Amino acid sequence: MAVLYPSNEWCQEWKKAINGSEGIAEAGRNWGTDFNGNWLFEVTPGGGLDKTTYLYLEAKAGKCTDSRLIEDPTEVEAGFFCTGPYESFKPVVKGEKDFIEGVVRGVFKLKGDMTKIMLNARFIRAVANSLSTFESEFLGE
Amino acid sequence: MEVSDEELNGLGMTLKQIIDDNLQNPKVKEKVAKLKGSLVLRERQSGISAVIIFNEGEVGIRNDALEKPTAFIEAGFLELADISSGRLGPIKALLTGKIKAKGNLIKLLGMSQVLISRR
Repeated sequence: MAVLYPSNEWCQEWKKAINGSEGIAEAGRNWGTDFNGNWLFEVTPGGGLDKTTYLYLEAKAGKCTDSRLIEDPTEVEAGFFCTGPYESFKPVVKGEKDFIEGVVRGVFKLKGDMTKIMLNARFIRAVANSLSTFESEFLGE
Repeated sequence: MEVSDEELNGLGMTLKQIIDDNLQNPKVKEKVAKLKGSLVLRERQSGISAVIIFNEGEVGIRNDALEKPTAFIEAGFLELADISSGRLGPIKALLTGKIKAKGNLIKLLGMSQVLISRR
């Protein structure tokens, strides 16, 4: 059954997809072990989304330990912050566009230790690819 | 660096953070002090480019390519990441065809030092 992106149910599906992937576990075995590897995604309105939405993803040693929507971005401590419009996140979640390419193009603004991103680029790509491994439905479609 | 964050594309922003970090290392700073020229990097998948400009100790980064840079690299993001993280040496990357390069290859090897993390 398709889950609505973004929703807490969707976050749980993403967590399951990450934790069910051997590739992610292997590529991310060093991720977040000696630094804050948690992510905060700020999804800005448009394309059917009417208010800014925050998704929090806790990741450590190739596993996701928490994934949920949050109301207030100051309630979590994330080492990495990514912001972009809902319209641009949709094709990434659908598997039609590459997240890293979006970062390179500046569609998504990424803040955090870029040295860690470069060192773990395969993990980042694998986690992004996991977005399209389960069925999602979208606002505005 | 001579350009503010807001003006750079995503590739430039990524490179800027890495270069800023690497320039904290005195050995890298020493190598950069002798360099003069420009290095264009193009990310293969997106076609997005950024140019790093070396001017005897000053390092700047700008969007897009120059017509006649001192050196030019084209690579996928993962290959750039491998070089930046020290997993793939720039010479090996060239010899194995993982990256394409043009221009002054001796200077390219010197310039690429600012992209390789020492952490």
